Amino acid sequence: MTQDPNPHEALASIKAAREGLAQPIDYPIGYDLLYGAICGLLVAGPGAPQPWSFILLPLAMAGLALMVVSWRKTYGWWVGGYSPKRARWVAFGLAAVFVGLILLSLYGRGAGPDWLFLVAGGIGFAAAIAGSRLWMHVWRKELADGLK
Amino acid sequence: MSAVPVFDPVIHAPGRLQICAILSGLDDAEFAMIRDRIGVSDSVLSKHLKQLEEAGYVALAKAPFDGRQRTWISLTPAGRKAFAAHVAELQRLAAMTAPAPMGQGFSG
Repeated sequence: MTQDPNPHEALASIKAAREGLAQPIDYPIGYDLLYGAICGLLVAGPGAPQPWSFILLPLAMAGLALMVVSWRKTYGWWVGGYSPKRARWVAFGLAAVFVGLILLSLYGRGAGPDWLFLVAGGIGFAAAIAGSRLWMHVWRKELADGLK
Repeated sequence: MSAVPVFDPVIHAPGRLQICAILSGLDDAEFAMIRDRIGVSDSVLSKHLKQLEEAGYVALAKAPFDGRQRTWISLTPAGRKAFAAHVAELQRLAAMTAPAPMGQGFSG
């Protein structure tokens, strides 16, 4: 590109830079499984018997923090779930599912059955993996479509 | 982007344009990642970042990682606004200079 790019060159340069970010990232499947497990613990924790309900929450929060640190260290960038304009709606949806699952977990603890927290955790595990993959897909599309 | 179109000479230089384009899609990025993406030396990137920082468009933060200080860069709200306005202006100019579709430029 020239030192003073014309509008077409400049827009092409911006598009290429943004699309470069949107390239598939080959992060290991273990990352998905770990994220799913952490989210499963987050939603199951409140309904788990004592003392597990007190132990699981800080454990899951620490796990999430470590995952963020690991991602930043490996890839050299970070984007929060709620930052992108379109993809944030996937994050809001996932958060709503998690709130519902936490309530389900608490309901099981109060009214039974006792094992309902395990169901909530299992659904949370699957929802987190599906939601994170969907979020990544929407975000990549948002980056590529950003200049249209 | 629906910003009011404003041409920004600070952003328009090729290197700074790419830096802003990368940062516009992220919360923040590490110095080395940006350097590798746009293919410039450390000193050239530092110079671009200094100009963007002086304009108030980027914020630099140093954080220790593996015993080394690493620099993380993010667009400020003013930088995001200026970049969106610059892109809008580029799109406006590009639309004005777009070649006429085949068969519509000459009526005989």
